[in-house]
Amino acid sequence: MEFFKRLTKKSNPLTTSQIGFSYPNQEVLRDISLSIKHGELVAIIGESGCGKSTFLKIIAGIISTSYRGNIKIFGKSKLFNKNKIGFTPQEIALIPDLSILDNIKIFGLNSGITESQAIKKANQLMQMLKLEEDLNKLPSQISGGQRVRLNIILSLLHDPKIIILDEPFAGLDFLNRRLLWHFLESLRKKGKSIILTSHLLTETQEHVDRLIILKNGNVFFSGNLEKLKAKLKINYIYEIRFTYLSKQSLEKIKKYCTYKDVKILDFYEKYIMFGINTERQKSYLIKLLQKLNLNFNEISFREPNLDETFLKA
Amino acid sequence: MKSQALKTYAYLKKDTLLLYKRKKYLYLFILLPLVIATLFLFALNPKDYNIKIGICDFDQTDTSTQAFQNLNGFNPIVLENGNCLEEMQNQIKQGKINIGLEIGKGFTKNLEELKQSKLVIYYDNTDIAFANLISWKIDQSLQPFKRQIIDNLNKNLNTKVSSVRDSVELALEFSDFSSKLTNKIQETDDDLKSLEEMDTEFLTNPIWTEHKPIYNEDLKKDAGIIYIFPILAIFIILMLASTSIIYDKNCGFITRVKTSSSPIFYILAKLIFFTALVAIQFAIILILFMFYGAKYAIDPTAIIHLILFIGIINTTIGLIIGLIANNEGIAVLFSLMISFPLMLISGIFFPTQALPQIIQWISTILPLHYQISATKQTLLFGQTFQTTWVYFAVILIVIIYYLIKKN
Repeated sequence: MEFFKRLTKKSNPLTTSQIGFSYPNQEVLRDISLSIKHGELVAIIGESGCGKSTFLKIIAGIISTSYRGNIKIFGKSKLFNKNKIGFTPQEIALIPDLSILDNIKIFGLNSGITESQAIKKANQLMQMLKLEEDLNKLPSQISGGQRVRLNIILSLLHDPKIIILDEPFAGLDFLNRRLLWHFLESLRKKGKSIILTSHLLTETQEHVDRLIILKNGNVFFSGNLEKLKAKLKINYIYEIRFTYLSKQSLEKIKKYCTYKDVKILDFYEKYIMFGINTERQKSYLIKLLQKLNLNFNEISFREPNLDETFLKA
Repeated sequence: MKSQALKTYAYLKKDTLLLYKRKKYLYLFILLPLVIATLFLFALNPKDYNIKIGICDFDQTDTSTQAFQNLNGFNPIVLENGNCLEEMQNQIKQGKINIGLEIGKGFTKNLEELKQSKLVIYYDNTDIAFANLISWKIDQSLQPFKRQIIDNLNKNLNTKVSSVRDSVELALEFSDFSSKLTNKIQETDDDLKSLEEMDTEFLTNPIWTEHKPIYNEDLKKDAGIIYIFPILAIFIILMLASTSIIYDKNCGFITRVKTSSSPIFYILAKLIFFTALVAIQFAIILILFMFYGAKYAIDPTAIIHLILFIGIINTTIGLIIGLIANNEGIAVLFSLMISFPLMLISGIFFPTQALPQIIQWISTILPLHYQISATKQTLLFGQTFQTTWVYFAVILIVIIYYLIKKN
């Protein structure tokens, strides 16, 4: 019975276990174990250099030697399922001296489909991404934003089930970013599993199903923003600006915060951003500031966005 | 003025720092002139070369032995007398000896009779640079021996003159003993006759060397292709293959290749493409040579084998350069660094036989040496060559595969 259960159980599109990787003199990834479900849109976030791109490159097969751990694509070895992945690199990967049409044909063939299939699929994707350009133009003759979209299209010509995008929003303006988010959401609806990295945290939290935070080479957190806030005990952001703040007063505030588990998320001259867990903590904090005879203006008291929560993480 | 000087200093400092930081540029900047200048120095001032000379001594006298033992810079190898000339020519063709020397019967007798003697030099006239060197090299090496012969002749003349003088003195002293005098005058007359009949050619050049090419003389004209084609192929393919892989790296093409398929198909496509370029290059050169009257043994199978050999080996080397180099500049410098010295020691500009032993050995382990030899076998003699290169190609392909995976 157990055997039949296992046989009929649908494998996750992507499962990684204990992925580790080191550059010379630097261990980037220690133990990254995670899995991505069908139709799930996941964002990997973390500080620059934390290994987000390295992790995606390992999954996509760009780094194919000297990493540790296992990668399963639909329960099978990555080697036999390479065509199920579509990877968009952070850098624009287009052949600059060939027309857009030739790029489509060549990258279509590279993905294992015919030229006509590639053109058909490209037209479909270009409509979705509102990239209506003369295909005989060279990549250098279209705008930067269009090149980013073309870069993504060329990775999806073979209709992959798993889509990996490394910083797809870099260099895009707000309108193009929104367009791309809608595009990714439509792919998710079609059952594609999407994994991406981004530095635009606030925007990302609104669209993804799950956030994965990498820290010190490990998965620090996996879940949605609410879960992250709960984990970090930051339900509110309290921003104030002092008219005058002496060093002694600042030290006293810092001491209090450490003692009461209030986080100073940002600090600049007379400005402080606190991350607090309950409204009661806020009133205690105000009492302290009054006790210290500090004059201040309250800038905001609100729920944190991902950027602010990330500061804590 | 000061600020302009500071700016100039800043730009100068930037380039100096970059040269120091980009180590590959620095190494090539130092290594390239070092290698090429050293090769030139060796080539222009050959010192410890050792040319193997096969000897067929049909005279077998002390004088004939002296003739080949006194050749400076040559290593004589005496061959057996039965079918000696045939064996000598075969050994030249196989590269076991560099040239051959035939000392004919009567060599010593001629010298004793003050007649010019002949030495026959056999050489590979398709080995262009060496063939040009050999005419003066042999003559130059024979100089001490010729000097010795002239010295002997001088002594001989002195003896004869003093004998004539003795005879004349005797005639004056013993003029009354007529019969004795008659004999002595007869002797004097003989000596004078011998001096009169002395070969003037012998006086200027007691030994003359005849140069016999082992192949038809037309072959020398046709032989240009055996150098030109491999040299151009290595030079162009190394540059093109290395820069093409740099281009693919820079535009992210390799990234897409790695995500979608095994690099082996990418390598295969590169090999096919550049081998096709070699085939086109070969066709152009061949047609040009044939247009100017060269005749070659056209065996399609052997020619395809040759093009595959040159195309695949050069492409794999070029791809490795491209994978090691960081940018097109380094790739071009690397290609130059490899192909330029190879050209110098290929045997077209300088005779490799006159280079030091170590450089001769290095030249024989480098691919161009085999490519020239294979082109010669294929085009001049219509013969096929060994397929050992396939093993090297496989090793190089494995290295490329590893470098692409690791890159």
